[in-house]
Amino acid sequence: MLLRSKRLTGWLGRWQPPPWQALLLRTLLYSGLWWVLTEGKGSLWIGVALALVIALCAPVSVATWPRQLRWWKLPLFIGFMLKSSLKGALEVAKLAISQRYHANTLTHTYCFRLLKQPPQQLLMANLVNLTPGTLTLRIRGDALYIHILHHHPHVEYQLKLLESRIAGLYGLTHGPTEYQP
Amino acid sequence: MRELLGTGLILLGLPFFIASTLGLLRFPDVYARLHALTKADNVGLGLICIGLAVQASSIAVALKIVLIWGLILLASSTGATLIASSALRHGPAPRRDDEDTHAGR
Repeated sequence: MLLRSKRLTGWLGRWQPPPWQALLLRTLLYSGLWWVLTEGKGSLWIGVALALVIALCAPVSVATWPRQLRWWKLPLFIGFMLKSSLKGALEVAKLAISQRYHANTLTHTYCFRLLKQPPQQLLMANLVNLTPGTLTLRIRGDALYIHILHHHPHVEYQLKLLESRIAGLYGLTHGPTEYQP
Repeated sequence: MRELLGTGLILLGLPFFIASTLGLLRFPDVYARLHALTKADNVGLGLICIGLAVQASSIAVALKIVLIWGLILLASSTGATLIASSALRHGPAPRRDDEDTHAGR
């Protein structure tokens, strides 16, 4: 009990209010989530109060979202990912329903060219699983170990394109992605 | 009109679920099966979620359904990599397959 109260006092001693922009943004975000989760039927005041408490308790060092993220590029990126997901699903469905399972399966190591920060690499590792025919097996250093369900010459280009799209989302400079089958 | 569009989207999502289940049964190893689960299943679920969102009684309900889809996408993608890396460490190595194989049993 004494230890707990000491911890709480220590935490309160270190606590400092987040900058007002972050506080406002977080409160709006959490209130929006409350509204969605309660299907618009929950009390607005309880939602805002809860959102404010959570926003105040969140550590200042944790960013609400990365500062370098280009928000205006997000709709286009989501569209690109939806198109890729649909293509991937059709490819898997075609293989699954074909009379004979014919696949050129192999593993491949993809080295990052543009993404150097772990959160960016983790995002790519997750999105690789939604793109046609590829599955992340492991992230090691600056490389992804990938399982390819049915290898074709476009796979390497497809991965480079995905990386350059993510780099664009983070505002990283990149050259044009060339298609080399 | 909304009912019709919603029903159409749900019906469109079902074949993806069926294909994904077939893939789960027919694909030769855990890695290939994960492809079926992360791709076909997610698109099938997405179409069903959009179909339900179209028929939802309010925007909040529709957004909640879309939020559920987003969270499942995130969980399924992260889960697939975790299962694959665990299988790689403790299970059989991924098979290299460049010839015809009878996988259907």
